[in-house]
Amino acid sequence: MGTRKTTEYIIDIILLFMGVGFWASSQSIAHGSAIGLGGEFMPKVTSALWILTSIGLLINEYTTPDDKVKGITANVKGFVATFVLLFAYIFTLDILGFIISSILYMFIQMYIFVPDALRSKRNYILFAIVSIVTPIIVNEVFVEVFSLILPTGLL
Amino acid sequence: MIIDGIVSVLNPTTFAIILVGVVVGIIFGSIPGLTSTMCVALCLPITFGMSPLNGITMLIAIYVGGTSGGLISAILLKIPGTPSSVATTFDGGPMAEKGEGGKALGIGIFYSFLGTILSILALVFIAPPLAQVALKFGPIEMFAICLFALTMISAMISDNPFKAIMSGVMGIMVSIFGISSITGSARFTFGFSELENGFAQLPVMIGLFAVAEILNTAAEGIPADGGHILAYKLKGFGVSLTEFKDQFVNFIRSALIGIGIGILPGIGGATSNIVAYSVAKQQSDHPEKFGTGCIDGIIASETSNNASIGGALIPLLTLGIPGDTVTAMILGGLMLHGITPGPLLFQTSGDLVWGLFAGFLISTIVMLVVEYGGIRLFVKVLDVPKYILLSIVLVLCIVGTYGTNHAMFDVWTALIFGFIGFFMSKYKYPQAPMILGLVLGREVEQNLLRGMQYTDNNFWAFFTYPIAAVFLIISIAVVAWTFVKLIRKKVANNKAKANA
Repeated sequence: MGTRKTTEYIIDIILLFMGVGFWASSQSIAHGSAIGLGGEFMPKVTSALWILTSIGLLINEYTTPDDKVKGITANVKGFVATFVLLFAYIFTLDILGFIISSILYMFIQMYIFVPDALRSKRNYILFAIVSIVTPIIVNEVFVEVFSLILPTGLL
Repeated sequence: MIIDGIVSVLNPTTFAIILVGVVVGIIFGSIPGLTSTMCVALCLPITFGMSPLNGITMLIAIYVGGTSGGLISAILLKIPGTPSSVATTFDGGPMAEKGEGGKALGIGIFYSFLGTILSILALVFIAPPLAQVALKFGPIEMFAICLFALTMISAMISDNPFKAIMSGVMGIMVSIFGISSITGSARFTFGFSELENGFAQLPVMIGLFAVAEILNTAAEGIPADGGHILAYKLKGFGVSLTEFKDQFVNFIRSALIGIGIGILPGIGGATSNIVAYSVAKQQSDHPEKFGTGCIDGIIASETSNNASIGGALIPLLTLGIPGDTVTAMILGGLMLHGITPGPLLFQTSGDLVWGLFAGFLISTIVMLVVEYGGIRLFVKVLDVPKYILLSIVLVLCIVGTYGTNHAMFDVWTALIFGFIGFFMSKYKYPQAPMILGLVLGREVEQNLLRGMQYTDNNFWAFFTYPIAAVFLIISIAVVAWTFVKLIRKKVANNKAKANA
């Protein structure tokens, strides 16, 4: 997506729009039970600062020469795969429970992360073992020893 | 009170907690990509079931171990384990290449210990009197100090002050979501009942520091070659008595730099190690040897980064203002345990404060023994592939976020802030101001509203309060100076471009 400068512009504009959104939303905040300044004061001040800073960011970007560096240099495929995986992991936590969803997550995450040169049957077996053992141990330690509650789902 | 506090940590349970904290801290510190900030965030939920003293002592133990642990990979892999040990790589790496890895490790561990001990002394002698002074502070002074903290970090941490300020503003904005504790007004809830309580701090922090790192790794990819661990043979602490005497000035100077930078809000070991290294090089009789494997550089870096720990705890305990990102997490931990740090803490919970000081000292001694004795184990951990470690970290993130309030909303919060944190690091928006804004946002609001009540809604009257005026004027000057610096840089760049 274009150069870094273009991406920075897009981020600055998104931030500006968000600031305007916060400002508009802060206008409808009730004064509340305070005698002096109310609960709407800080949101108004903060959103005003947000807008001013994003305008500052835009001006700063405008006065900075374009270094022609690529806007996004990341491995988009790996990033999107991980993000979708995280989304699916959290989505299934309540349904499948902590242990099952964590086993699935860990195995797939390691599969995504592992460099091509290290993809082997031996490593996949290792991933499977780590994926099964870790959530069970974590569940035992945190639930039994530290008395935390984790989603149980199907179990 | 002092004796009660010290006695309260002298029991097997607290010792075991400290040991676990230090070991886990060293492991997180030594592995590049995992930081003590991340470790403290992940371990916060574990402390819920503990007494406040044990819980916070564990977090401090992680902080001590994590700050020092970075030296292992800095020397043996030539990759800093944490930002606090960046300067250690400059001379630690070359020493290891010359076959002096053991000496470099010994020196690093020993001076980490000494730096921490000096910072404990500073904490013990500076914090109580400072708390006495701070008792006189009202809302106007506290507002000015919070503002000072936010402007200092924004000015000092980034090349682009707009990005640092935006990060701080984002933190404050996130903190004011939900129903106002002062006025009862619902703010930015957008019809979601979950947002009425606002965003819990822990999921936001876990998102920004841990989930973001996982997304970052996914975007960058993991190299097949995780780095070659250089050979080492640990023997003694690596310094002779003569070397210790020769390095004494370097050591004291670096410790003072570390403590001073630690006290400044928002910046800690990540800054102090570079500053101390630069000063040591400037003041040295043999600056040309720096970077080739001379012990001066390791001593400067490792003394200063650990000295920042005690420095960072001073504003946290006396004013409730974190000295860096780890102490921001510890502030979150204190609040979760129902403890409000600040000058009153020394009066109402003096035994807790002295217990924490004692726990800090014990953690430092444990760090020396464990890191020295268990170096082989920690080096082995460096061999564990990052693709396995990060998957485990994410599972721990889920435990940390869900385990706090048993709410899936918190887990989604961590994912959303992980996404935000990823873009922040990708486009060089520093995360530290956001964390500071997050933990101080409500404090800023509360003190500002109360202060405005005192002055009949006249903000300029804040300048008639001497202490507040000093902090406000410094804040304005710091911001002005930052922008002058930015404009000068732009003018110089334009001139250079025109001449080219």
